[in-house]
Amino acid sequence: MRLSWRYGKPVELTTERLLLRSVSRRWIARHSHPWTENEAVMSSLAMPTGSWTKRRWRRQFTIPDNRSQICLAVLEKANRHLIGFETIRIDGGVVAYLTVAIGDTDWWGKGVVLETRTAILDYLFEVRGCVRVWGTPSTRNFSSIYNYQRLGFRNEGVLRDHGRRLGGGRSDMIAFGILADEWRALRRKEAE
Amino acid sequence: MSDARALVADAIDRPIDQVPVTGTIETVPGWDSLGHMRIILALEARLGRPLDANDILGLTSISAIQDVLGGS
Repeated sequence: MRLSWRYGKPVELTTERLLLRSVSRRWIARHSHPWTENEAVMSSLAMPTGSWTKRRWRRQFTIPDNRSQICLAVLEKANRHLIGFETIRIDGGVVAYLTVAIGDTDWWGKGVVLETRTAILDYLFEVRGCVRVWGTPSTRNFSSIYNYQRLGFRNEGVLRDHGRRLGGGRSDMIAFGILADEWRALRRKEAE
Repeated sequence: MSDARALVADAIDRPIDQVPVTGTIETVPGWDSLGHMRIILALEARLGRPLDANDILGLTSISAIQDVLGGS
């Protein structure tokens, strides 16, 4: 994959079925606000449903600058329908932290995150020059754990009581990480 | 091992002959992200307790699921 990119320029990545495009905090909050009524979606984010004003929902998102903070809308390529979003935080220019939400539950179990993350990892390692990418799903977010494992991330440890648990209390989280050389080796193996 | 195969087949709604003893998270059809969630929830229901993080991280093959169920 080759991309033309300069610092701060909005990111646009394409996959077989999907288009990932930089969006503003206001845009993603406005378009994803209906998901706050969906219990399945919100529980995957360890958040309650209901009582989310548009303003309160917007404040859950950091303000992307396409430098160290990126928010990518995940759109169906055929019709530009919003199905989710990916966020990327790049620390020190070389370590990227990922989060994801797929709000259109019709797309659950259809490999969306494997597809988006493959494009994102290629972008972060080959275009942005990151050396490491990581994420921290809850130990109860089994679908997210599956995606990290399928993509070749390594389990780097359990972060005890690191996250909030829906309904109160704390939840353990798993640190999954992958290094640039590990990702390149996996991509070479796939190509063989 | 047929116990684990049956549990997985039921959770992902596939015939048991599509879930071989050597099956893994990468090779069993239907073992996708939703299927993975259903498999773990079915396993926890069978055991009557939540699994700990290390168990969950190891559940990437039929043989690993059988180990958690109590051996073949």
